[in-house]
Amino acid sequence: MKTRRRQSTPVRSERYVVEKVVQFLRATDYRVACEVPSMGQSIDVVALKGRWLMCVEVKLADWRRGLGQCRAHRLVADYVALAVATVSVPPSLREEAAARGVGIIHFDRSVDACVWALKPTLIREMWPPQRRQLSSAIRDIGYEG
Amino acid sequence: MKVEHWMTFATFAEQDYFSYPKKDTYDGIVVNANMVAHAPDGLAAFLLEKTDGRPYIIDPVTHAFQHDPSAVKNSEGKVRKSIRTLSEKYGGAVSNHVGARPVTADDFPTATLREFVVNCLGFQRDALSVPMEGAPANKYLGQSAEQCQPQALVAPYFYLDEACFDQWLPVNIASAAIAVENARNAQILAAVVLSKSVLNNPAALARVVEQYTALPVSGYLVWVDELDEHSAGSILLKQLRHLGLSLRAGGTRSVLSLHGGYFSILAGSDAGGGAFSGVAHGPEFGEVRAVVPVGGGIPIPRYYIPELHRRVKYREALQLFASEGWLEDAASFHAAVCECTECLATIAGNPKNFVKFGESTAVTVRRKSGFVRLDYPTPEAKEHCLKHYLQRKDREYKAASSQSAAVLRDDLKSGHAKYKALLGAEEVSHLEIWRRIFAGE
Repeated sequence: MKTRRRQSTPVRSERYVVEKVVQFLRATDYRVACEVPSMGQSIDVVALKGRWLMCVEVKLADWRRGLGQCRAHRLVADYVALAVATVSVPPSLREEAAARGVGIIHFDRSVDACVWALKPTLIREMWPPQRRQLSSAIRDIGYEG
Repeated sequence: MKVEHWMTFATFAEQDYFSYPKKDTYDGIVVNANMVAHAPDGLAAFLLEKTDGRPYIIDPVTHAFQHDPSAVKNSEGKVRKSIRTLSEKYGGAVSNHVGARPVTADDFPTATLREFVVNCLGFQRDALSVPMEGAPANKYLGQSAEQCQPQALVAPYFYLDEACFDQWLPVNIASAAIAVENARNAQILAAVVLSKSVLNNPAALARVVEQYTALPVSGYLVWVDELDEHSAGSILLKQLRHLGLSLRAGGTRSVLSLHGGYFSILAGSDAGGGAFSGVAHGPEFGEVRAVVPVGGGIPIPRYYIPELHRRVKYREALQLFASEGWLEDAASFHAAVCECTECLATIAGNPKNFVKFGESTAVTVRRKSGFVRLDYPTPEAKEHCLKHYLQRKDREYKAASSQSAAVLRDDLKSGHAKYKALLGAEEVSHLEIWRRIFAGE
């Protein structure tokens, strides 16, 4: 007997997923800034709760590139996460992210919302002078909403 | 063996660096003819006031007319003013076609080529020397236009790639021969500007060497399109050194590598057998250059890691230095990374000041997908990176000119050993490839 497949929301763009990630984080009391410049890169989402700062890189599918971009964020963040809009979270992504302490936010198309697929672990490589640069950039940009 | 240190002029914003770190750092200056055509008075003043009377040559950039016209047009689709002006100086052979179609070898029958060469040499002789003679800065120096002429004149040249090699090689050789006939006591340089595929083709390279070395010129300029010494394989680099050594003819002729990095510098040293008498680079992005200009991109701050002999993105340098503990105190940084006067002044006893090499500001720019924020280095960060880079280049040329081949090879070996463990074999492979080439392995 054929099972009926769930209808999924088409993912229009990375920008759409960024919006969903912002909604997801704001719903859990994060203050959020988008497209924050840092060391020649642009961090898709920076989320703050209390004194903790998390950088989130958003990718529709190219998670390997996303993990590469996450590397430099370790110098400015307490936590780093990768948001992906793949149909499911590939085991190899889960494995590599876990090894690096990077969290995974999965945008689930079927429900048009984000969930934590893997929580990030605290990184202890932050370099305070660079963090101050990032904080200054966030102040210049302002928070979402 | 002395390796001359030349620097290529790029923009007036960088003119103060032509006497940095010292007034006599540079043995000569290269200026592009299109810049000369566009701003002769400004460049004349620059040479008189900012270079302490260093010798200069003008690259005639005649290859600009053989590419697709889009290569010489601005964003509005019009021929760039500097190229238009230059074409008019060179005459109808190029001015009749600029912006409409590329010139071909068939556009240069002997009489046309002769007129083109004479115009091109005349432009190089007078375009800067005449305004230099009349410049306010020359008031007390009292140099004549003749005394202000370039150190040598460059014969017009065209780019050689595999597709057009057979058409352009005879034109280049004839151009250089005509230039020698019309030298009027000036030294003539022939430019060997070719693609990596020609460099990698033994038969084609043999023809280049045979025909260019038969010319009665004083020396040569060498430029391989987009040859990145850090990523090039050993075969290509060996061919580059072979080309330099062949043209040098036992040290009797000068060979200036127009866009070279530390490999070219070493090739010119005892380690490389003196393959180049000099190497030129720009203040920025000048160690690799494509023949056809490409988009500039966003300037990312880069820090030159001395023992790697390469610039790396600021964030990558920071990751490396922080993970190794080299930013825990100033002494560790200077011992492990760099103790040039720029680094000493910038760090100023506090390793947190390394952030000054990477400071940036956010700029919003319009893209197809809408507005995006990009991160631009501050002028101060660019200046710190550039001054550090120029100090290290100065040391590289001095070391190459004074140290033995064994010491220079050992320096590559120790840099490779130090950074291999930190960055992985791939990131440092260029050091091992270079060492093997110079060790004859």
